[in-house]
Amino acid sequence: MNGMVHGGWPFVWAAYIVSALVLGGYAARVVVLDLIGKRLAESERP
Amino acid sequence: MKTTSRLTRFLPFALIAVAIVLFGVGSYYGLIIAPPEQFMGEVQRIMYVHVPTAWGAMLVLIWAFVCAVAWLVSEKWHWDHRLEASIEMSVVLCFLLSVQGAIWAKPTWGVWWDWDPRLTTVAILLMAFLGIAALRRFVEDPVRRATWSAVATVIGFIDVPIVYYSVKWWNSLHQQQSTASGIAREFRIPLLLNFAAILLFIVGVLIVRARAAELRTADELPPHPDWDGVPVKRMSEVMS
Repeated sequence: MNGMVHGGWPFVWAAYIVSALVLGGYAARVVVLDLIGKRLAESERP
Repeated sequence: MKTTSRLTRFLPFALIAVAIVLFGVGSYYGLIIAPPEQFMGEVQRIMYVHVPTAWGAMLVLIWAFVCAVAWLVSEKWHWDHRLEASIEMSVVLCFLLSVQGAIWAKPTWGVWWDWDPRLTTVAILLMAFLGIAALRRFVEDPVRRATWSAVATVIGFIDVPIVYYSVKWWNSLHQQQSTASGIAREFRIPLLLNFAAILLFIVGVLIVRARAAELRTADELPPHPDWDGVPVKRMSEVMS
């Protein structure tokens, strides 16, 4: 290849792994928050 | 406060599940099928996650602005719940955008960070929304929390067009915006697949997060048949 940048795979994997971790981690937090809220609402319901 | 139906309860989870599948397909295409770019080589594949994140972040920030203005104008609580969700999502996406950008910058520019106009304005945006998210945590009065964070969001949003035009207004290391139509088909497919994935992910997570905010407000406010029908100025006397 005649490109200017070589051997970039570790950076590519790092970008994909960080993206999956950040988005997946945040989604998991939101889902847990939702489940806790739902449980509390159900327990308070007469 | 309204109760959620079965459909609205599970719809966001379905959206998130479809987003995960789309992201898998888009990543497979971007990492395995798409060829390396002529000048940037394999590193260019970072664009298949960085650009959709940037587009998604812009849309969420615009949505946060809409929610803030809608709360200030209508004083309907569901706008505050949506605002809380979109502020948090803005922080997550701006943070991710900065990290992806740093990972991209090291092999292409030779540095992890530079005080470049685009990078600096995004960092300001991240700090601003981080501050607004912190404000929402520290203010206990729900009416003050909603109003102050809505005003802060409108002020913080001023930076969004500056971020967008920073690469045109100033000499920037960052390349100018690309449009999907100006990109070769092999590169466009993973880009659009991942953008569709992140869009569905954002919508799904925003719905679930807004619901959690709704439950918290319902817990904070005393029982009332219709809080949305009570003007904010009269809320304290209704609550007392």
